[in-house]
Amino acid sequence: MLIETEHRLRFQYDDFIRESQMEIRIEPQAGTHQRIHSFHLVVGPTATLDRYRDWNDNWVHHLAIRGYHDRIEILARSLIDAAADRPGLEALTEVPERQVSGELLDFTRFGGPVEHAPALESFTREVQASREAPLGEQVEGIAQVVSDRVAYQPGVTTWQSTVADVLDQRSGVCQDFAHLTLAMLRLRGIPCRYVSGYLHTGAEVAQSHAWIEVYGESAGWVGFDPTHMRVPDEDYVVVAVGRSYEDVSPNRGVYRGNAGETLEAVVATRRVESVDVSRVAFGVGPDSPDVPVYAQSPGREHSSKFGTEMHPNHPVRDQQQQQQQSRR
Amino acid sequence: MLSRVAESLYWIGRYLERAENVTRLLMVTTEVAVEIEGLDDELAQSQWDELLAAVGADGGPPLRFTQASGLALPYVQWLLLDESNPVSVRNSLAHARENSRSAREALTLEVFLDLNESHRELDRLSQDVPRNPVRALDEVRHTHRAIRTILGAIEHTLSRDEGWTFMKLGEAFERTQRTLWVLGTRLPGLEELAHRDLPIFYGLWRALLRSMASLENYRTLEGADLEPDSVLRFLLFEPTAPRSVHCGVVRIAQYLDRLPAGPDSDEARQIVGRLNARLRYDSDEILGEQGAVAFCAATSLAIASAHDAVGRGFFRV
Amino acid sequence: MRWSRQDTGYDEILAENGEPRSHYARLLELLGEIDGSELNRRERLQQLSLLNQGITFAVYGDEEGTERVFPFDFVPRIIPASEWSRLEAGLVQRVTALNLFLKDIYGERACLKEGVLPWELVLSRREYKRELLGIQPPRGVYTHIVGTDLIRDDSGEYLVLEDNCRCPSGVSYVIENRNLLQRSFPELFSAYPVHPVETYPSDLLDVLRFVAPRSDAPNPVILSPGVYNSAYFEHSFLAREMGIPLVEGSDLVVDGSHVFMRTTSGLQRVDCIYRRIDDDFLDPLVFNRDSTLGVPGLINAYRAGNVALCNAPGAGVADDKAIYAYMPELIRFYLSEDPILAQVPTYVGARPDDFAYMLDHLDELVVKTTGDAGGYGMLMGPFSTEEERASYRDEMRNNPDGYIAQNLVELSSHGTWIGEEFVPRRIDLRPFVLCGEGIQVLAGGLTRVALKEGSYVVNSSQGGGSKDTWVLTGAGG
Repeated sequence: MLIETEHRLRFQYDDFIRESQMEIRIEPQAGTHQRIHSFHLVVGPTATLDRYRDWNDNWVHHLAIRGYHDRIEILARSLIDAAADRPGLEALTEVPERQVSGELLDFTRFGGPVEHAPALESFTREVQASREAPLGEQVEGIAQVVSDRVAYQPGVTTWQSTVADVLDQRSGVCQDFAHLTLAMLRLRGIPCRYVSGYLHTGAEVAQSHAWIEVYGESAGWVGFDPTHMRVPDEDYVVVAVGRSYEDVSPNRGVYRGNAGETLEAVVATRRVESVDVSRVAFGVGPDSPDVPVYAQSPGREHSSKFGTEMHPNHPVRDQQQQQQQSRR
Repeated sequence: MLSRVAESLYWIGRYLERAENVTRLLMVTTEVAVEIEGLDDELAQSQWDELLAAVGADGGPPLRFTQASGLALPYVQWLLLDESNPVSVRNSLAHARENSRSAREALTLEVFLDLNESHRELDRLSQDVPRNPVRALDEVRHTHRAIRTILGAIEHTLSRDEGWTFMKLGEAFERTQRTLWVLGTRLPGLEELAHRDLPIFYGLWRALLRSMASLENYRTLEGADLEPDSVLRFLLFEPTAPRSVHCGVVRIAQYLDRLPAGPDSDEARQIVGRLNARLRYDSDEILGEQGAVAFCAATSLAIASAHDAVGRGFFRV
Repeated sequence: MRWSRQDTGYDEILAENGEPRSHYARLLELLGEIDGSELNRRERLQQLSLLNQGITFAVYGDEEGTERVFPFDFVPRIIPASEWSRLEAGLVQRVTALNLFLKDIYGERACLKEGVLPWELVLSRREYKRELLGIQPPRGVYTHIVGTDLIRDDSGEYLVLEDNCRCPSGVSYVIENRNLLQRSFPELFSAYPVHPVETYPSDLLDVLRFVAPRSDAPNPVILSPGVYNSAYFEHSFLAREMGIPLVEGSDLVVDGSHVFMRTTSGLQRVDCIYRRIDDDFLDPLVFNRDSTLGVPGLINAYRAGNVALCNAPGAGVADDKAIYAYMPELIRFYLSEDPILAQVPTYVGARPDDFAYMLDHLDELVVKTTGDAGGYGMLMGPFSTEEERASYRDEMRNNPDGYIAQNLVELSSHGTWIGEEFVPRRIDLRPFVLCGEGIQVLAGGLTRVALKEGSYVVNSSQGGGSKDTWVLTGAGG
C-alpha cells in the first residue's frame, strides 16, 4: 500500500542565532518490507546539505546555516510502498541462543537510555514466558507485561527519559514502551533494536512512532509494537533503526547565540491510490520555505557611553547551545 | 591572525590604557582636592564626584570626601582596588592578564611577566589596604609606575606586526574615549565657575591639562598663559598632543589602515575618516554652533560605533 | 662522589659488580669533577629557568589553577646505539600493527571475524566509536603520533608497558630538557655523540602536511582545549616551534563540509588539525553533546575527506589496556612476524578465568582500569591494605570488562641527584613515534623518574620528574 508522509520541523528563536548545524534522520530507509518511491527535503533558510548513511544504514542529512537567522523550517515528504505481508512473532519459533556473537552483540548490550536499571530484574520476573520458550512467545510475554504495567500517558516523560525513569513513573509514551521492552529482552540476551517511524492512523494529524525489532536466526529482524501490542503492518513506515532513541533521534543540533528556542514537530500521513509519476523524485526541492538569513545580526545592539565598550573582559561571546530534540 | 588572539590583544591595549588613565586621574584629583579643600569644600567634593562620573565609576556606594583625613582614602580604595568597581585598576589589570593568557603566542616573555607581576602586587595590596593616607598615595604612584613598565615592555620588545597594531588600536580607542569623557564631564563645571573665583578657576584648567598628562606639552606650545579657549582647542584639535581628541582619531585611523582588508572591515574606517575630517576642518563650528560638550557626547557615540564595527569586521568573523 | 645500586631490579648505570657500565663510565668521571655545592647551584638555576619560562603543567583535582614545574634531574639517561636500533625496530613494528588494527576494526573487522580478538571485548570499549565506522582517514593514517611507554625487567630486557594513541604528551619536555642540560652542563656533552632531538617539530610538521588533503597548500593547526588544560604549555610550545596557529574550538567553524578558522582577514581554510582534545569533546553534533571545546560539524568535514585529524578519532581504542593484552597476537596476525619487543603478561577482566584469578590474587597484582591514563584508578596490590583491596574488589565486580591486571614488574633504576647524593630511583621511557609517509622514531624520549624513594609511580601528576635521554649515534654505541 502507498503512504505519503509529511514531517515538518519548525524551530523558532527569540533572538537571532547563527552557525546552526544539524543532523536529521528523517528519510525512510528502504528495506525488505518497504520501498521508497520518492523523498523530498526542503530547508529554509538556504542551507548547505550533505547526506550519508550511518553505521545502521540510516540516511542522515547534515545541514549548516552560517548567517544570522531566527527560525529554521524543515519539511520532509516521502512516498512509501509498505508491504502488508510481514513475518509476525509466530515466525520466531526457535529458542534463542544463549551466546550471541558478532555484530549482533551491539543489540544485546545495555547502553544509553536502555540501561540495566536496578528495578528491571524484579519487573522482568512477571513475564510468563520462560527463557526456554520460543522467541516469539518471549517477546509477546515481555511486551504484555510492559503493556499491562505501564500506562500510556503523554507529558510525564521527556525525550531524555531512561528505563529507570519509566520503571519509576510507570507511565510514558511509545519511546518509553520501546526502551523498556528492549531492556527486558536484553536482560535475556536477545538481540533487539529500536525503530523510529510513522504510523498511519487515518487521523488528520498523525504522529511519529516508535517500536522494536527482534532478531531471529531464521526470520531475521521481525517487528513488534509494544505500545499497541501488534505486529507492524502496511500502516507502519520505518525511518531509522538503532540501539536506542539516541541512535535515531530525528534531529540533533547546535547553534551559536543567546536565544531561547521552541520546536514544533508536525507529522501527516495519508494513503495514496497510485503513484503520481510527476512526483516521483528524490532530492532537495526548489520550493524552499522563504526564511531570511543575514550576514550581520539585524538585532544589533546600540552602543552607549558605558555600553558595549565597558563590557568586562571578553565582550559578548555567543554561546554554543544545543537544540531541543523532537520526540517519538 | 586568529580573530580570538587579535581581540585579546585589542582588549589588553584597552585595559592597560584604562588602568593607566584611572591611576593618573586619581593622583591628579587628590592633589587638586587638597589645594581647594578649605577654600571651597563643596567644590572639592564636586571634583571627586566629577572624577567618578568621568571614569564611569559612579555606580558604587555614595562616597564622601572626608575632610579630616586631608586625603581621600575611600576613593583610593574604590578606584584602585575595589573588585565591585568595574573600572578599578585592579580589575583592569586582572582583565588584561586574563586576555594575555589566551594571546600568549603573540606576547614576549617580558610583557607577560610584567603583567603578571603588577597584577599580583595589586592582589597583595588589596589583602592589606593602606590606612595611612600618605602610604596610600605612594601605592597609587607605585602602581602607576608598574603600569608604565608594562607599557615600556610592549614598546621595546614586541615586533610591530598585526598583533601589536591591534593592541595599539585598543589603546588609541580607550584613550580617545577617556579624553572625551573627561572633557564632557569637566567642561560644564568649569563654565559655571568662570564668573566666580579666578585663582581656583585657572587652577582647575591647569588640573585638566595635568589629568591628561598635557600640562608641559601645552606650555611648550602656548607659553605659560592658561586661556580656557586655547586649552580647549589644544585638548580637542592639537594634532601633536598625544592625548588630544584629534590625535586619538588620527592614531585610530592609522592603525586601522595597517590592518588587513577583511570582508566587513571598511565600516570602522569610514566612521573614523569622517571624524578626522571634521576635527581638522570644522573647529570653529564645533566650538561655536555645536558647543564643545555636545561635540564630545556625539564624538563619543561615533567612536563607540567604530569600536562595534571593529568587532564585526575583525573579531566576530 | 659515591653512586649506589638499588637492591632489586636492573640498574642502568652500575653493573652487578658495582662498576659503571661502559657507556656510563665517562659520565661518572665528568660529574665527579664537579663538587656538590656547584651541582646544587646549577640545579637551582635549572628549576628557576623552568619556572620563569612558564614550563609548567596544571594538576587535575588540585587547587584550581595550581601550576607546577615538572622536576628535572640533570643526570642523563644514556642508551647505546645497538640497544636503540632494536628498540627502534620494535617500535616501528608495533606502530605499523596498531595502524593496521585500527584500519581493520573500523573497516573489515577481520581480526574479529577470524577470532583473534573477541567481539565482546571490542564492542564494550568506550573508545570504539561506531560513528566512525567506514570512514577512511586521509592517507590511511590513524596514529600520527604515538608515545609508547617502556620499562626494563630484572635482566634489562625492554618491555612495552602501554601504548598511547590518543594525544600522548611530554615531547616538549624532551626538547626543553635537552636545551636545559646543554646550557647548564655543557661539559657532559663533550664526551658523547648524542642524537639531536630538536628535529622533532619539523618532522611532526612534515607528517601534518603529508596527511593534509590539500597537498599543494596545506594549512595545519593545533587544536587545544585552552589555557586551563594541564598540557597547555606543550600545545603552545609545539605551535611556536612549528610556526602554525594554536586554535581553540571556537576559533574554528565548519561550513558545509569544510573547516575554516576565523581570522582578522576573514575565514581561512584549515585542512589538518593536530587536536589535543579527546574524541568525546571533538564534535558536539556526534559525540558528547555538552562539549563546548570542540567544533560542531567537524566529523562531517572529516567524513567528506576535507580535513585530517591527528590522531584520527577513534584511535584511542588501540591503546586500551585490555586490547594491549592481545597485541602480540595482533602483530602476528597483521604482519606475520613475531613481536620484537616483549610486553608485560596481562590478565584481562573481560575473560572470566582471568577475572577469577584477579579477584583471588589481588595482593600480588597491579590492577588498572582500562579507560584511564596517568596512573589514576590503579591498585598496587603488593602495597595495598586489606580494606583497600576489599573496596576495590567490589568496584571490579560491577564492571569486570573495565579492568586488567599485571604482575608487579620491577622497574629499572637510575642514579639521580637527590639532596646531596646520587641515589637510585626507578625510571621508565616514553619514545615518540611519528607516522606519516613512513614511520619515524625520535632518537631520544621522555625518561620519567619516580623521585620518592622506593616509589614505582613516575607520572608527573604524582610526584614524578624527568631526565634528558641520550641516544648515542653509531660512533659512540
